[in-house]
Amino acid sequence: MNNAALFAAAARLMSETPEVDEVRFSTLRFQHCRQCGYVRSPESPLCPECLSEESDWLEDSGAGTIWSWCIYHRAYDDAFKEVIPYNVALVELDSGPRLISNVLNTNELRIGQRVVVVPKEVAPDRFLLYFELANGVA
Amino acid sequence: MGVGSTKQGELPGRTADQIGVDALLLALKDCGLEKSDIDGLITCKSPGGFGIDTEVGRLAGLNPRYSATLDYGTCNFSLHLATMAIAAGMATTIALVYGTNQRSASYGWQTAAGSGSSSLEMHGFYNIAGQGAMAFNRHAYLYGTTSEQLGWVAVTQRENAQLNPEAVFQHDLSIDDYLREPYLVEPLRRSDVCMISDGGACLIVTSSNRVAATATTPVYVLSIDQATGLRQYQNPDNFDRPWISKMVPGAFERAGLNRTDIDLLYVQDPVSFWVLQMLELYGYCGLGESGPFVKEGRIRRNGEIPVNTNGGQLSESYMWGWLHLCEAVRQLRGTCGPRQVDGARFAQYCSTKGFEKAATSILGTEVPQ
Repeated sequence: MNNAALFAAAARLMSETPEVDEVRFSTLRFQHCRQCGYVRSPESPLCPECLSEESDWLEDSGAGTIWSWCIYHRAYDDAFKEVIPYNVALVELDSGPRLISNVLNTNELRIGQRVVVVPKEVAPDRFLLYFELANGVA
Repeated sequence: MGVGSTKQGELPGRTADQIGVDALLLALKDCGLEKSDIDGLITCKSPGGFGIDTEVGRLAGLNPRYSATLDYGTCNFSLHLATMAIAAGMATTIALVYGTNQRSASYGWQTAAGSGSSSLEMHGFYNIAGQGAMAFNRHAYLYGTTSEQLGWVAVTQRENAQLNPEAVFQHDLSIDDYLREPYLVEPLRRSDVCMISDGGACLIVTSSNRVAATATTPVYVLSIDQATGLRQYQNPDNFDRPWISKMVPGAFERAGLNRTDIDLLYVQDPVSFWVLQMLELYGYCGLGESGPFVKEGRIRRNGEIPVNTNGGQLSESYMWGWLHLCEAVRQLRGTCGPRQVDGARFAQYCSTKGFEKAATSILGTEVPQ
């Protein structure tokens, strides 16, 4: 995984789509329902379990497990021409939510590997959440 | 039922809606009906925003009693809506129409895989190949399914396409050829992912007491069912769609059939792995057994459950599943020439709208008593 090229591709796409809500936090955080405790992902005005509107944004440990992964050998958008081959992984966080992201530093991935979130400021005040292998073990 | 399908592949110079109307004319001719016999029109939106009932109706000169547009037809949801509209008495004879010029018009396919978040694009998660690759990887991890086993889906469908003069991909594809292909989205290769093509398809549906008036062997809709997983990523194992299997017993029960009565299976196949997934979810083999099942040739034309005898979206044409139902009708009529499965009486079609919705239809040459 070419981290620098990946960040550059994200920055380029971000400049083309200025209104993406997910990128405004510098850390991984979710809405926790005040009524039933359900952790919302993606962001929602109401709880999909109990339909309560009340929630608190709480920071997440960012620890999770790879559910599955794939490696792109083709750039479906020109922005990724310099990035291929790159991985995309579905991570199940210990707190419940599931996120699609990339695992930095390596393309050698296995299902079940432990990962931890790495926020990255890819443009001024715009953050994307990546993962890396827990303890740096590949 | 009448069916019509246009030439597939590249149809430069024709709009998506013109192609849809071309298919409508072919379907009318197929069943010997006149345009004036059509009192219902259900269209399916195609890439670029075409295929709207109000536009297609105007182009085709139709003022039907009932009309509607589905955003995600796959022909299955379209057929279900038609069946319900006829049962409700809102129409007697409905044309289902889909046309696309997506290849000639070069619509971008660099849209994010799935819906709900544009940050997916920033992580490079594009095209259905992404979810297909992850789902297959997970299956390989859980059950030991191999690339070679998966490859037999594309190889088997190519064998079928080579007997289908309308198929876009006709060249030889052996399992060795498949395994030599470079990865597209690893572990999927080029032949695991559907092509982009132009084409049109139309089915004409009427009530069973009216089929005597049509010129063809009738094919009956024996049962329809749907299920959803609208919560998407909130659902565990989203890409596995386990909720699909909930509707399976009811679909067979209402058709008056057992799974073993089904002679032909059609699976909408934007990626090859969905064939493995649906074989398991619909119970044609056990969970985790689909890899050996396809490698053993059990989905071939002479196997126990022939799958996608037209070649599917991997080899015939990308018509969002519409040609699967056209093929099912033609096979049940016994008119498929060299690729005909002898004595086929019952067929099942399974399709999905992403990871949110699924539909199945069981068709037959007779209504079981």
